[in-house]
Amino acid sequence: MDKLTRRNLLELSLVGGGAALLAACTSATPAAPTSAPAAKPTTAPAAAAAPTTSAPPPGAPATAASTTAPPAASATGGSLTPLWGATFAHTNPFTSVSNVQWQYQASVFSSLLTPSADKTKMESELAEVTSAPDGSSYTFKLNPKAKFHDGQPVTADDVAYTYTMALNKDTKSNRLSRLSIIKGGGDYSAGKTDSVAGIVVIDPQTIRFDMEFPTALFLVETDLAILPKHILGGVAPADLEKQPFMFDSPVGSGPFKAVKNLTDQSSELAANADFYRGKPKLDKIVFRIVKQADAAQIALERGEVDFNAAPSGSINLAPDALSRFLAQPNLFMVKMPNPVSQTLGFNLRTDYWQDKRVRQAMAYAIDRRKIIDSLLGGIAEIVNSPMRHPWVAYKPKNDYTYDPGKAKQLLTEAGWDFNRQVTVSSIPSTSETDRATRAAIQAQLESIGVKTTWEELEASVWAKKFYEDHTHEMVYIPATNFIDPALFLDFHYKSDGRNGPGYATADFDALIEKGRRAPSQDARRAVYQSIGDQLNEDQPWIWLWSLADIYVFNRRVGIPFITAPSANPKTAADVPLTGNVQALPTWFFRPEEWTVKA
Amino acid sequence: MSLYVIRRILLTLPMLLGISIIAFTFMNLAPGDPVTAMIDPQQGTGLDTEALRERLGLKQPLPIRYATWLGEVVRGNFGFSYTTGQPVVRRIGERIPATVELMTVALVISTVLGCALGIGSALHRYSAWDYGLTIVSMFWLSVPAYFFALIGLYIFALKLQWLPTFGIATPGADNPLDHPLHLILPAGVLSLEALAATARYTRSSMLDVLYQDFMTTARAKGLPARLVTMRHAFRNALLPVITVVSLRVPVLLGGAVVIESMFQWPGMGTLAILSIQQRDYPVLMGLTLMTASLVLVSNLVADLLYAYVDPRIRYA
Repeated sequence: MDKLTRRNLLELSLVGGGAALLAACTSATPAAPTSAPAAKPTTAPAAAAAPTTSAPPPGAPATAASTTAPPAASATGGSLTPLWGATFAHTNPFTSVSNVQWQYQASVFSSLLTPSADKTKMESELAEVTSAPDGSSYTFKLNPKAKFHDGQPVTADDVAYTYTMALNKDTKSNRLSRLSIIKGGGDYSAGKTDSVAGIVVIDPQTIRFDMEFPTALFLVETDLAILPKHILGGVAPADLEKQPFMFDSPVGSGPFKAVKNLTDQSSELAANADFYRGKPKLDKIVFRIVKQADAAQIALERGEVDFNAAPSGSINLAPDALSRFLAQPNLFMVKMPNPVSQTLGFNLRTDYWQDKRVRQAMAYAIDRRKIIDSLLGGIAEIVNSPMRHPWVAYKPKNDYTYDPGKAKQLLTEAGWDFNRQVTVSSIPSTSETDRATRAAIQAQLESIGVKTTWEELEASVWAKKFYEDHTHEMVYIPATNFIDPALFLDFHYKSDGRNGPGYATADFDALIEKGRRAPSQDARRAVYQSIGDQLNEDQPWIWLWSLADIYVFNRRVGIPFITAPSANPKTAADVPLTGNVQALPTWFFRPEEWTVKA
Repeated sequence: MSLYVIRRILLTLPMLLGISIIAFTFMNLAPGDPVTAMIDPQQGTGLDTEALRERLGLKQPLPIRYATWLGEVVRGNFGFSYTTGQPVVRRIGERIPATVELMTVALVISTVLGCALGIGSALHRYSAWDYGLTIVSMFWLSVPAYFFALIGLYIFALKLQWLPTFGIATPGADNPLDHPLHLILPAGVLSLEALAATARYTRSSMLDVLYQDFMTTARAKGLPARLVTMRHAFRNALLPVITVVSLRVPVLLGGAVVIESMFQWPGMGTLAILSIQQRDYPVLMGLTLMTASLVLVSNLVADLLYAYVDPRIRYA
């Protein structure tokens, strides 16, 4: 080729440099398509019947009535492909901590009872329950048709084995303290006895659990996946976690059987034709792992996956990204209340936090409505209490509406030192939105005279500081309300719990224990409403807002308790909130009733 | 030569010992520990953390823990993962094939194409082709792989839908091209930076050789141009290129973390990040030893290649 002159080279460099600059300035998020994406062909929802209105369950927060077309006629067969945003590490029910693991277990295993779709009660799965009137014992009659995937029947011995292992400290069970409400459970965990006195096998189909004290709390613990004693009974408890059963080849009694787990790729399940509640409508479920939000977005648009199952943060929650989903005709969005709320916590062991007027002032100082509308795209709801469980039906007395004047007044009355600098400890920001939110809170606190320095700590370091060493001043952290208020209060607010806020007192311990020991749900409700009022007044830990869980579904998916809208709104803020706050574990409910259209 | 190889292999043992001591020490000095890493900041934990620390041996002094670990490693037992309970060998072993495949393909693409482009660039010095390649190489070297991954996904996965978006294969697919199609984007993106570097070094090295006296002699003898270029020029220019390519091995291993994350490739990079976050010391130590061994072996291979390419180099 001919040699270039210096002038030519400069011209070329300018052009090339300009092109490079343009490319570098291209948004990382793909621009809105100019034509419909070539996703899998879908059919519009069946319009044969008149639109229906779904009634909210009793005690549920009012949701917008959804005038939608009914789901397509039940189809059988096909493969459902949910997306997981995190790795599936193992399926050990004693040490599971993630939605990914609980969804897998909900598909492969059965439990005695399971939370209802509206999360207001527990309902029958493997067994029917009869409770003693005072809550001192619970008797479970197992479904005689229930079998493990290897054909062996599910018996009371398997249930006894599972709960005994859940109380064995060598299994690293995270239910040790929770299950100590079973008579003799604490002694067994401490190694003082060889068995749990309160677990009584009456006959092969019947088992009774006696409680240390009358309580309605035990039903919450009946969602534990039942393991086969005939396979695992001979394994030492300390070795259970290492068994291939817990990784590749679990044998459960659930609607689906494990086929293959590929590390960091997928988990494949096949329908269990002998499932005791009837053959599942799907042929298989293939959970696919996609951790990167942009790749997840493309996969959903292309139809490579059917919906984002766990965790919901696996997709990009920026308003423009959500609007892009809504613009796709083959997708629809479901917005659910999230059990996780964003919180601002204190350390009441420090003298300047002990006056509740200071803490109340912080609550009044933050303009949550404005942050939600301007930074979070309107997809969060203000919360004022951790007592968000639907059956508690708690309504906070004070909603701490933004009032900086009142905040300053309270601080002045409390004698706050306006020169004090306070350190707020948090885990690393995950997005620009999160960083902007923190900056907004910092500015709003500064405006009432509270100077803050924000530090980001790696998760395990933060956990040590807050849960173990208690050396924090303030914390900014998402926190979950747990599946039951008793579990939340035991963990966070009791003297013998983690007591991160340092709020525990003997009187409050007694009130929490009263809730644990209440013999009926109504009695428990009254206690937790009282506790809710106390926490709302004292504000030892400010609950700010809860970012809704966003799920994006392909229209080919049929879900028994969700109805697809016929048309998508323009923004995620306009998508109505569906259902009650789902407490952990997962909302992934009755997978045997799900369907897909071809 | 055999004695040289044996001597080098024996020298790797004390090097690995030193690396393991440094890695073990710094891992344990970092704030937090495996037990606090098990505490989810959002929901805490029901674990008895003190009992768990006792059981995992975390309360023992650091030298005792290291000696215990070393004693087991010498017996071939790399321990069990703190978080999953799986044997470390299995936890790492199931990811090695994916990482080796991705790295090998990226290395082959970057080396072959990089050398070819570098040779072409050197032969046509100061041409439009040469300047164009220079600009593109600078661009590929400067811009992070994450950007190219996003561009690749946007164009080939979303817009054109020619290639899959993520993963190593489609579950249940019986198309023999399914896996290669999944490999194209991650390997292509991973190879870009190495390709640019190899092209630049090859060009530079070729230019050093092309105008030497022996090259004039070769041309004067009437040898075909291709023979002159490949057998005489390129072979003499190969030594620095071998160095660059062998140094790419650990860089590719580290750079693969971003690519594995973007494309959901089940490799060791993702495992390393996860293990760091979870303070899974046994897995981290296993990964450290493996990576160190890989680097030492690649250096040995590079040294042997020097001797093969340049007969003047002989090892005692």
